[in-house]
Amino acid sequence: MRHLIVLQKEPGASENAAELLELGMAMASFDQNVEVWLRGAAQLWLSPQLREDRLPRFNAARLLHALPFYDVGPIWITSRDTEDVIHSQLAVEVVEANELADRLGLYDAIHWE
Amino acid sequence: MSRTDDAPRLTVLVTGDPWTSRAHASAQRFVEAAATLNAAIEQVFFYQNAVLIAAVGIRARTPSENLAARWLELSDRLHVPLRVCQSAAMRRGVISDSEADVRHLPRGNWQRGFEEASLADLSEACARPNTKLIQFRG
Repeated sequence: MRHLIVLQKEPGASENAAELLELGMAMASFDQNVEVWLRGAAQLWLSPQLREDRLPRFNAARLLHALPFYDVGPIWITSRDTEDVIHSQLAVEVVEANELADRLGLYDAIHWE
Repeated sequence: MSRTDDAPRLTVLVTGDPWTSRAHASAQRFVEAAATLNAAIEQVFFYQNAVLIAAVGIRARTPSENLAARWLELSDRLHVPLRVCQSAAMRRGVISDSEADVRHLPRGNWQRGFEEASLADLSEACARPNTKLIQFRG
């Protein structure tokens, strides 16, 4: 099964981001394909200036950095016009907006934040 | 309608809050409809805020909306296990008697009929061939 995790809220907005990433890691542990789309304000998770002390107890940024160890990926975004993304230490794939509809059709399950 | 071997096996994933979303009511209607079509429903899995359904003492908004009782009735009648992510539940204060014992609490608040499960149970089911995951997030 091919899964897409879609995070779309800014860091600290909810604990759902971390739980969805945990779900993705569990699925990947059972040899399923899992990709992550950081949409809109969720791109701020990539910011190197993220203040961990201002986040709730579940820090999705740490989980994002752990994803490659679980063979989760790629992490992709649909624009790269934010400084946060440019300076991120995480590798991200940029998908053009006009590819989005075709791309979303590839997944068996899409898990939205 | 008879079930064929190549018919998809359904796992229903509910993530919506029982109080503020329609996820549970919609999922229940789906399970009921799927059962009338003789579909193979492997499990209903509760994750994120949906795990609050397993807490004892949730009060329905109206008598006709007792969601937990309705889940238990469906599970009993259709032989569909109701699996609740134990770690997501614990984060929200829903704990089983055994976990309460470990934590030296007087008792748990886990409703009988809902099974303790983990994300591995969900992932394992999804990894089986011919499985479909249907999600209700409200």
